[in-house]
Amino acid sequence: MSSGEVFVNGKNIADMSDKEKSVMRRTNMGFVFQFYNLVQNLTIKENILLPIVMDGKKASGYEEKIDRIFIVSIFLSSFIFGRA
Amino acid sequence: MFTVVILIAVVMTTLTNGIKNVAATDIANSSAYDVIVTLNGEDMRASDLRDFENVTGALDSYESLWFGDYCTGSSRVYGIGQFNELNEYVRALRYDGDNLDELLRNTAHGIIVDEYWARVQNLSVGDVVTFFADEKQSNEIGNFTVAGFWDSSTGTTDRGFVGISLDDFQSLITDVPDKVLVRTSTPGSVVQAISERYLDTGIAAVDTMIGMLFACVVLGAIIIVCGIVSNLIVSFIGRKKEYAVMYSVCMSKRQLMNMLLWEFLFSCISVGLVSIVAGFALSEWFLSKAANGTGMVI
Repeated sequence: MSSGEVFVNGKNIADMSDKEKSVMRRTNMGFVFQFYNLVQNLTIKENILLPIVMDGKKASGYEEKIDRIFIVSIFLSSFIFGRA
Repeated sequence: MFTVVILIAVVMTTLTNGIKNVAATDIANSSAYDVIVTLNGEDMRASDLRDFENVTGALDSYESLWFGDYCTGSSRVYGIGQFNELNEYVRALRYDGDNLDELLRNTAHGIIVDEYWARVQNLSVGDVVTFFADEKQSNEIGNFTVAGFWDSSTGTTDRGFVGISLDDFQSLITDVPDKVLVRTSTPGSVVQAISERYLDTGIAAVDTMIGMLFACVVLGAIIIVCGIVSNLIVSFIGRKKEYAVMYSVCMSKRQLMNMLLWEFLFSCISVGLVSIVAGFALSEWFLSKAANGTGMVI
């Protein structure tokens, strides 16, 4: 593709400012990196909470939800691979 | 980080505490006085020398002041409490009569000047001259009225000795003494005794120590700057991938810059605070230990 426009939620991303683009990335998009990409100084939970905190929200409201996801993930991985 | 803190502490130690040099720069016999001690700072006064053997008296003397418009040279100024007392120390002064104290008391901001110099400058009693603290005449001390004359030709060639009342001296001139005049019957032994305490045994060791200390401080400062810059660069390069992840997932460029700035400020302030506290805490201990070997007073 050599030309064209990309719209997200009806907005042309070429017309967005850097701040608008960063807000769009952290509120409307999820990332699955091809390789392992975590901030090394933070725990897994803090890595997950990072976009929420940067969005100005309190992390405490999301911690319980993340804990539940962890438990399900551990259960599934032990079910699939036979160990946690 | 610890090494950087210790180095900054040494720098702070030297900058905040310093070394008080008690030595004089020159001690010599004189034809005008028995012994002149040229001071190196504020740490020695006439009172320190009165306990020496055969010293019958000592008097603080002060820096030269400059006359506006009248004289291209400077004048050594004495604050006169009692003329007889001054005359005891300064044999270069000759005065016919005994009402010098009275002349000064009766003249507001009065001065006594050398009679030959007054003739050359065409000064007579009642004329007003202006004193300056510097040769460029930018720092004015005040106006003074000629109250009388004396002869300062004996033992000196500049004829520039000036006397003002001790009250005027103390209120208008804030310079510290630069010389101490010593009265003694045995100038040779007194010069030797003062030199042993303030000159020969002290100043060379002090100069060497100051030189070494400042070399260490300069070296330390260079290492500190290089270390900090190196740490910042290595830290930035090592975390480039981390910044890229943060930028791609959730942060704007401005938020990234703010984060870096706050990290930098936090490092600088925390290191600075620890260094200042450590510097003050170590200063007395470090300097006194270092000085003990030379027998100096810190």
